[in-house]
Amino acid sequence: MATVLDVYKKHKPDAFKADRRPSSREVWWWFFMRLSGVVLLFLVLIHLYIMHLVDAGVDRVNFAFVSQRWSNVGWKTFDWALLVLALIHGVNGLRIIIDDYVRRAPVRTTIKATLYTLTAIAMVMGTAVIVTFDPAGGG
Amino acid sequence: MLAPKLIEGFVFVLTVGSGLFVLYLLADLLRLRKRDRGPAYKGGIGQWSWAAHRITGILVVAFLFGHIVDTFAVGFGPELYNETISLYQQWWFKPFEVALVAATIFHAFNGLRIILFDFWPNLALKQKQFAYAELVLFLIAFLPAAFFMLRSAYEHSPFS
Ligand code: HEM
Repeated sequence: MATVLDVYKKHKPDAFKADRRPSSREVWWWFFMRLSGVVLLFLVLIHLYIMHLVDAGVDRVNFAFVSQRWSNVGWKTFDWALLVLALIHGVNGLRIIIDDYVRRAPVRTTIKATLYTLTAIAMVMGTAVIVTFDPAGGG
Repeated sequence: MLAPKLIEGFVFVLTVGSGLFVLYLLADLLRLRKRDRGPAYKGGIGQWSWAAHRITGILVVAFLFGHIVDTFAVGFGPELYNETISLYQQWWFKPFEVALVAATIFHAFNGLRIILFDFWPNLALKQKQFAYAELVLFLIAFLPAAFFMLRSAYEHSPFS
């Protein structure tokens, strides 16, 4: 019986053309995925519990709720850590997936460039709104 | 107001877009299986966990992009923010929210399983048992959460 590896070698030979020994940069990304994963495990589950489960869940979330939460620098830090780790972890995951499915180099580069640009914009937007938040409202 | 509608549209497009990609991914898996006239995709539960990890990861990060944009609206005062996130407070949005919670919990637990195998490779010898145990843990964590979330949505829906 053929193994999964055999089947992929037969039908997706391109995937095996490249040198599969990981670069040290890739090993560090591998490590980062695990490290951020363990931290995210706690951040994400706490986030889900507070925002979606207790009290009325998202039904009670509004400007006043956010003002209250973000009057505390601890929650600001929590939310910012969640933002940074989830965004980098998620986008690095997308990069790996793009490498898996997009075989044509020009297309791959274009998609990745777009992704990284959007990521940078999202990182700035997310950071700015936490750092500059003003409960008086209206920017 | 236009801005909240644009942001909601953005969230919608991201969700649909990532959903389409997930369909492509599944078609890719099934096509491979069909062409080989045999159980090409024969990794069993471990391989399906891999597919599910990938799919849930894509869904969650796609939503994250939309979620950053809608949270950005909080910097522009109560009026814009409250209208923007009113999307999430519609009773019919609840199933999507529950799906997102399911995807996140699954990805979190499965990620932990991957990490355990990576750092203690001997555990991987029992990967099937771990996968089933993970499913049980997932149900224990998810089902009560889904129950409470859907109950409140049901009370606000026109059906109750
Ligand atoms: C909650 C705790 C989380 C844990 C424990 C976790 C764990 C992991 C691990 C270990 C990997 C690497 C899998 C591999 O190399 O085969 C991974 C991949 C990934 N994660 Fe997470 N993760 C978590 C949260 C998140 C979040 C919040 C997002 C989205 C923003 C996300 C998106 C992704 C994506 C897109 C991948 C790539 C999947 C693939 O390559 O098939 N993860 N995760």
